This record gives sequence, C-alpha cells and structure tokens, in this order.
Amino acid sequence: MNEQVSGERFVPKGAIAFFVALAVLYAMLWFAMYAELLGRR
Amino acid sequence: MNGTLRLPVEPWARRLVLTEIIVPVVLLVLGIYAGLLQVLFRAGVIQAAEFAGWEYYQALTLHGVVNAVVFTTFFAVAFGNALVPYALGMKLPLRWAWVSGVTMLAGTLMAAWAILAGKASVLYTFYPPLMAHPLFYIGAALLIVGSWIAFFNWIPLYLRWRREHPGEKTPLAVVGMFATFIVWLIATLAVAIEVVVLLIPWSLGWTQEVNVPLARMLFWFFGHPLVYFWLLPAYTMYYTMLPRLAGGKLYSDKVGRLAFMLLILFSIPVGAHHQYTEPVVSSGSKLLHAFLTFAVALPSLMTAFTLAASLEYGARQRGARGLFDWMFKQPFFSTDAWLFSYMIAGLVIFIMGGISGIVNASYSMNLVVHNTSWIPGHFHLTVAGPVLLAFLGMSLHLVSTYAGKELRLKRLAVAVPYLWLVGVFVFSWGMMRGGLHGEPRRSNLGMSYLNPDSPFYHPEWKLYVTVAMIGGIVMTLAMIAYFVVFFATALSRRQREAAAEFPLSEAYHDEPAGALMNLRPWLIAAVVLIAIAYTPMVRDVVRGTFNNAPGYEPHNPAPVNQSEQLEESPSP
Repeated sequence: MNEQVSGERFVPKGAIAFFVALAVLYAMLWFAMYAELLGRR
Repeated sequence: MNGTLRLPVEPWARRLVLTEIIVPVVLLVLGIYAGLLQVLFRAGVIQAAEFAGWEYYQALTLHGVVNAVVFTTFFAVAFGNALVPYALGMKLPLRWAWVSGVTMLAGTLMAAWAILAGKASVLYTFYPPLMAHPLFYIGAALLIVGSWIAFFNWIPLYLRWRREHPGEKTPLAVVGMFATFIVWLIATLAVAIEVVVLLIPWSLGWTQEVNVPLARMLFWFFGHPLVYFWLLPAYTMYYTMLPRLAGGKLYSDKVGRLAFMLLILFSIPVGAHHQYTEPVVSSGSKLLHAFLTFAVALPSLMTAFTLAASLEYGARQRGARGLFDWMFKQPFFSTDAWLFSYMIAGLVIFIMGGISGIVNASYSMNLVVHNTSWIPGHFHLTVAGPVLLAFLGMSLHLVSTYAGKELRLKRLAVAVPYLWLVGVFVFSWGMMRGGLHGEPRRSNLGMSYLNPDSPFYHPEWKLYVTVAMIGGIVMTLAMIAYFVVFFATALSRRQREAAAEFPLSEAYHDEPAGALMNLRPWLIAAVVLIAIAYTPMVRDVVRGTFNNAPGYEPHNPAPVNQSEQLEESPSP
C-alpha cells in the first residue's frame, strides 16, 4: 500500500452527500418518467 | 498551468497535432452553422425545404457527421498523439502518425464533398435503405482506418515502456487513451463490415438490394460504443487533469483504472437498446442488452463520486467546511485555471445527460421517448455536454502549447462553457418536453407541423420548438465566442518554444493496481461478453429478414434504380 496521506485523514463526507443527493434526484426523475409511462395505458 | 512538466516537441509532431486540431475546428464552423439551421427549420422560422442552398436533411447530415464523427475522431487522435508520448516520456513515431493523419483527412474530404454536393443526405446514422454516394462511405471508411493507424502507432511505445518499467503501473492517462481506442477498434470493426461488405457494393450498383436489419444491427454495434469513444477522452481529462486544475488530487487512482476497464467490458454489448422497437430482434436480446446498458452506467457513477471527492479534497485544502461548501470553493472563473471551467460545466450538464440516458435504456420506458425529439435533447446533454466542452477546452490548450502561444482573450474563453451550459439546458428542455408531447425528431417541422398553413399544423409544440430555438441560438453564440478565442490564439505571434504540457494530477490514494495492471484479461472478457450478447441477435436478424431493400433518396418515394430507369426512358 503506497498511500500518500498527509496530515489528517481525509474522508470525503461532502462527496458522499453529493452522491446520495444525485441518487435521490435520479430516482425522482426516473419514477416521474415511469408515472408518465403508466399514464399512457 | 504553473509547475507542469514541459517536454519539447519535434517540429513535424507539432505540425501534425496542430493540423489534426485546426482542420476539424474549421469544419466545425460549418457544423455549428448547420446546427443553427436545424433549430430555425424546426421552429418554423424557415418554412421551406432549404435555406441559402442548404437542404434540411443535407444540413442535418453535415451537422451530425462533422460534429459527432469528424471533429471527435480527429480530436481523439490528436489528443492521443500528444498525451500518450508525453505520459510515457517518449517520442511519437512520426511516419505512421502522418500516414494516419493524411488518411483521415482524405476520407473527411471525400465524405464532405458528398454531403456538400447533396449526394449523401443520409444523416449520421446512414441507415439503409437511404443510399449515399459511394465516396461518402469510402470517406467514412478511410477516416476510421486512419484512426486505427494512429492507435497501432502508440502500441510499440506502450510495449517498450512496459519492458523498460517492469512492475510499474502504466500512467493512468495512457490507460484512458488505450481504453478509448480499444473500444473504438472493436466497435468500428462492425461498422467497417457494414460499410465495406454491404453499403459500398450497393451504392456502386454491384448489388441491387441490402439487408436493412443486418445493417442497422452492425451500425448500433458501433453506434453506442461511439458514445464511449467520445466520453473516454473526456474521462481521461477528468481523472488525470481536473483534480490538479482544482488544486487537489485524484481521490483514487485505482477507481480510475477500474472505470476504464469496466468501460472496455460493458461499452459494446449494448446496441439493442437503440433497437427496442425493431420486431426482428427478439425480446430476450433486447432485455439482455438493457441490463448490460445499466451495467455500463456503473463506471460513470463511480466517476461521479471519485471526481466529487477529488474536488472536495482540493476545496478542503482551501478551507471549505460543511457538507456542500466545497462545491462553491472551486476555481469556476479563474483565468489561470481556465481549462477547469470547460470540465466542470461539462460535468454539470452530464448530470442530466446521465439520467435521461438511463430513461432511454429502460426497456418499456423507451417507448415513451422513442424517435421523438427527447432523443436529440438527451444526446446533446452528453456529446454536446461533457464531451464537446472537454474537447473544446483541450483544443484551446493544445493549440496554445503546441503553437507556443499564450491563450488569447482568457475571460471570454472562461465564459464560453457557461454560456454553452445555459444554451444546451434551454435547448434540451425544449426538445425533451416536446418529445414527451410527441414531437418527432429528424423532421423539418417548419414545412409541416409548425406551419399554420399546413393541414398537419400542431400548435401545441410551438412553445417547445421556440424554447429549443432560443437555446440553439445561445449555443451558437457560445461557439462564436469559442471560435474567436481559438483563431485569435492560433493566429497570434509565437511567444515561446512549442512544448507538450499537461497538468497531470497526483493521486491521494495511489493504490497498487492489482488485477488492473494488465489490459489483456479485460479485453478477453469483453470479447466473450460481446459473443454472448450478439450471437442470438445475429441469429434473430439472419432468420427474421425475409426481403432485402433497394436504395432510396430522402425526397423520392421511388427506389433509386427505378428513378434512374424512368429518367433514362424516352417520354411517351
């Protein structure tokens, strides 16, 4: 293991929050389109 | 770009890379003009079949071929010719590099002549039974062969580097460019078969009919991986340069390598998701390709997280606090790190491009959007988002460093990607909303649905086409600004020695590569997966095609050979 870690260990909490928000946004948009599909039956 | 390694470049290598950048940018002027015409035709501002000598389908073909195929292929080759030798610390072998460039240029000129002469209005998908002039197909084949030669020219460099550096990881930038051209090589084999075996003999009159489903299957074997051929050079920039431009480090080198290997694995066996409505392809094949298309979203989601973590690391070094403060502590408007603006604007656009692509890939949901204006709305958020902006930014960087000139008009250069972002979001909103209301793609709406004098007049779409037109005009303005910066830089006086110079990032986690050290197992796995995904599909197409088709032109309901017979026969 050749990790270049300087000082305090960096944990990307902001990136995790961003990724969760992205997943929620994607789920909302996908289900909105799914509702559009169902509305055309 | 302070502190980056500058390597001197031989004069003929410099001329080659500059030619491979400047020629497609000049052609892009025509491609962008043709794009502007599209929104004007579609919004009903032009209510005619042609404008200033450019016919609708001719302009649409030029727009697609120049912007999506010629510009991107030339750029990928030029970028590789600059980046691969730089990252390996070697010189580019010039003879074959020039053979590649001249072959691509000859092919481009042939295809451009056919399109500009109005003899190849077959759109960038060149679906038969629409038939083009043989020079269009021959030119396309030469463009592809030229790009293969460029790739084959890098392989001896890579092998020599590996011999001289046993046990070391291949530079990530080289892995990215090799992933790009491995995907391209495999994918273009299918379209080469389509063009050489089916379309060229047919357009020369040596065969009278063509197997349309087979041609379309071969096209989409190529057509979707083409998206990754566009995206992979952008991903290479994102992984290897964006963290440095943002003042940080790449969060994980290993994730970058894994993303590239997964894209080699999953990019190709996904073509049937473009053919969900084709009855000749079995539902089993379509479902398998649908699952594989979801699999290919994985490396993009990994990329989204890793880049966010890399940007967050840089921002935290500058004092960012909390969960989201890092997003706003980025050098968005820095004229020193101007290349950052092209990459970040592209990534923001890609957020919407990604989800709309997942909608397209969803088997039954695809029927809501199929063949509507949603589709061009979506792909402008990918190819005209992260891909175009990364390529535009890097073309400015290459013309500046390889010509030994300082970038001119830096403030304008920084404004370009944000203006483009606004334009493409407005454009795509109009196209995608219109698509959900049934607005068709590939149609001169000004002649029909958006013409109040037409019996087909469809006023519900007026809002959406108008919004798309406004977006298209803003995009055109952004491109005019880009051309001003590009040519002001290219035509300015040389200020220093030309040199290769890339802002390559360090990795925060520089892990051992393990199973990602070697491309070969991933390549073998990709070939096996392609065989599994495409063997049943080939069988479907061979068994399910009962009649081949003669050739047609877009404006004539009679086949080309019958039209020629009618023209030659004497009048009664």
